[in-house]
Amino acid sequence: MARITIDPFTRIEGHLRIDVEIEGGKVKDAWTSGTLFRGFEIILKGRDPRDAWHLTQRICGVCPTSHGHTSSMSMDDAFKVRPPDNGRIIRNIVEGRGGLVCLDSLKQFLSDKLLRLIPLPAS
Amino acid sequence: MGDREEISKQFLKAFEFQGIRRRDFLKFCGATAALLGLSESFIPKIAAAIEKASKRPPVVWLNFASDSGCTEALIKATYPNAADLVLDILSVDYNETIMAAAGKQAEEILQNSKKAGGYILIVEGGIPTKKGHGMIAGKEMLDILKEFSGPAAAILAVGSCATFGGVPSAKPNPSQIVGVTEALKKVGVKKAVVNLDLCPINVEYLVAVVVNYLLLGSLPELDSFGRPKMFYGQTIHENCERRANFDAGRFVETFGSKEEALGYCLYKMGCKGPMTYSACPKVMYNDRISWCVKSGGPCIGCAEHGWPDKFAGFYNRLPDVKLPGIQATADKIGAVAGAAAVVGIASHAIATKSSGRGKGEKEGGKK
Repeated sequence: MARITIDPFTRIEGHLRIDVEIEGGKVKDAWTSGTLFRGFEIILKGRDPRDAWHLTQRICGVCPTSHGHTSSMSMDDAFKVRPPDNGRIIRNIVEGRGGLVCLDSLKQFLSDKLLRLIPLPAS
Repeated sequence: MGDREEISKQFLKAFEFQGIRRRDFLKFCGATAALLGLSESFIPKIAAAIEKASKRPPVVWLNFASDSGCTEALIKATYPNAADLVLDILSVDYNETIMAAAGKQAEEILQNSKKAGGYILIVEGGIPTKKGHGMIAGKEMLDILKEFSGPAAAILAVGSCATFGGVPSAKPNPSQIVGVTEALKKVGVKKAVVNLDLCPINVEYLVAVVVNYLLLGSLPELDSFGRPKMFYGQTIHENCERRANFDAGRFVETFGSKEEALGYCLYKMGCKGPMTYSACPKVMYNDRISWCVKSGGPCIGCAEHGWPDKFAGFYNRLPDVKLPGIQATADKIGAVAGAAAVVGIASHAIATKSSGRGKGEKEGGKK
């Protein structure tokens, strides 16, 4: 039984490790582990709720928009408010722009996305 | 502007290949000269320094407890195109977020860089000092920093996390994250660190520091927090495009109001501009299109030591400022222009005092 470990797992935000167990040419088992702990949930406790979306955006620099957006949505729920229509539309535009990171810059597409399609020799 | 002979044809061809004309390149050199506080006569020298750099001084970019936002800022840099190129010229040998290799191959590249030495070490992210809270390839991040800071020619800490810990080091700091300077102290490495504080880093700051290093072979003049004085010498408030509104007592009182639409001052909405030192209003972000205050967001003070806890409650306004002998605040004065300007001066003086800077500077003279 062979075991492959890929650490660091690159081209992602953060730090990831992959362990794969292979038996008879087939993957038998696999594990992923995040190798960095920051504890955002712990940090957010007891803070001014209006600060939350600023902080949650810093969870990931590749997709900050989604983290900020969901944080705002959970606050809407907590305060039992609904954003006005224009507010909702603005949020969606911002989210759409943030989500379309592939089109954001050719260079980012090349470095973040395209490289995933290139088969690398087994490490 | 500039001397045509200073830049070789071959080098310019390489630029043209990337769709960058000589004029754009010199424009970039001019912008960099302005950032560095150099006269126009330096433009050809900057061009020559960048050309020399095409021998590819290696860069090792280490990601620790970060969100890779600074890496994203780097690879998304659109202005000037040439800035992008300078960083292309610099050979970024190792950067986990953008490199093609992974696992063992990635580790090999890193070890080879270490053997060669003399690289520019760029650190993104804070360093967890609690055991097991930050590991790469089975090694503690603190140990990795120690290992790679030794052979480095220069160390740049980019972004709020790498400088002083940033968001992940906010109370209660679950992983006991510290900035590079403090981490190096812990492991007993004595080396100067350039702190480029901001969340995320403004790539133009980074490029200017790198160019400064290529040009003069030295790091720029730093303030008491290890930040280049050329970028962190003045408060955001001093250069803010909404400053006239502050001086005239025109404030936004609630979001969604007419005052907000008119672009009034965001001080009462919690803007931390008066206490935050950075050249944001001048350099801006995203192609120099906009920055936080221009887009209607109060400054949250991300360029400051101790952020975010120092400014927790981003929408709470900075404490009322009272002048000796005058019992008034920004609220009471309302729109009385002259008096509001006095408050402005006082808040500035207090900001300067409380942040421990402005030593020997006649701050009271700002009107």
